[in-house]
Amino acid sequence: MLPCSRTSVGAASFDPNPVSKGVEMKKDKLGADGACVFIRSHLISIAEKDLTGAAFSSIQDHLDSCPECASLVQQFTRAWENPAPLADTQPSPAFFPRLIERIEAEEELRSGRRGVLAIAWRVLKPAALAAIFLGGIFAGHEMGKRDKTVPPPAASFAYQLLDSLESIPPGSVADFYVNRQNSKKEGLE
Amino acid sequence: MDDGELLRRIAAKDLGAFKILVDRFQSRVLGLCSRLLSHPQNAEDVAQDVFFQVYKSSGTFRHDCRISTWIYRIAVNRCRNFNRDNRKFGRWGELPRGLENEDGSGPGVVAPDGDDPASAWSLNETRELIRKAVASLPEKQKAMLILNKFEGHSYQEIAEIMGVSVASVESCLHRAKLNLQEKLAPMFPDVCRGRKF
Repeated sequence: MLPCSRTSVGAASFDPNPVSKGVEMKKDKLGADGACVFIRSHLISIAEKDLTGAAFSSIQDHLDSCPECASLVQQFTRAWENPAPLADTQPSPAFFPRLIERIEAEEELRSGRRGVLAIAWRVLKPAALAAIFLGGIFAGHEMGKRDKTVPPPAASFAYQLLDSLESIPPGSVADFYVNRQNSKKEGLE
Repeated sequence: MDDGELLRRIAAKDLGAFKILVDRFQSRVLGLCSRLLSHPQNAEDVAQDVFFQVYKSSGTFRHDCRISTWIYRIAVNRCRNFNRDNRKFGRWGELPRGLENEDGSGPGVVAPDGDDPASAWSLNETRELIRKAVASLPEKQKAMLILNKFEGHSYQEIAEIMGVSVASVESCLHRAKLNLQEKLAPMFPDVCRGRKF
């Protein structure tokens, strides 16, 4: 017979999902070495008794004949059902004082922030209102100034054109053309 | 004084009530943090964060679940954030010796050497192996398995703590156990080595 080894054949042919589907463990297909490998790879299912009746009885048969596997299963089941209490789950004596220190520091910071903001608001509120009022007056004043600087009608294009007509040199082509147009309008021609 | 009354007093800044609440829950919160954190030495700091959060948020608690569930939820979230942040920066995220990372990288499983391997595994060593294997699970599976197996919470309570459905808890726990079995199998020595059948 072969000694048990983790590379032994047999385990690969097993259903890898025994928790959901149940495990069919057949001794005729699986040697004792494969059974050992199988048991090592399904310790939780065995500990929680999740295996089907047939598989469970097959495993039980193997455990009866293999004291090493029986010892491993027993030990694992004990460890699984009674996980070790953590060595140091009791907080240190300074746990609560540290917590209170932290809370007080946080509250001091928050109240400090609140205090500064309150004082700032009390001082700045009338100043802000006055600034808004003065700003309104200044803006109105500036807008009034801007109305006065609107260019007079003389500066418009039509008046500029008339001015340029008045300055036409006499005897020039432009002067002849303007005189002719005027004559037409007056019906002289 | 019940937890609800305690929380109402805490919301009114009653430090005496807060001390009662801390005394009532600190061992359980610290134990949960120790199990959930990759490095249990940070458990007390994270537990401090948990109670600090409880104090700050006591006024906004809606009383739609039990106080203990709410505190556990804060603890689980804090631990997951802590693990995630420290893994991201690679400071304390490494796994205990002998375990693989979730992506399969890292050192393999190391079994103790000896003439008689079976005798080398004491009950405490088996517990330690289980603890390390659980620590190497993905965060969500680890949290649910610890809450169920080590802290004794029901599926319904875990669903409330984790903010998921009961079916999701069942499915996640099932996957966690399969993962754990895969991780545990190579961790045990060939107990039958040399045995003649």
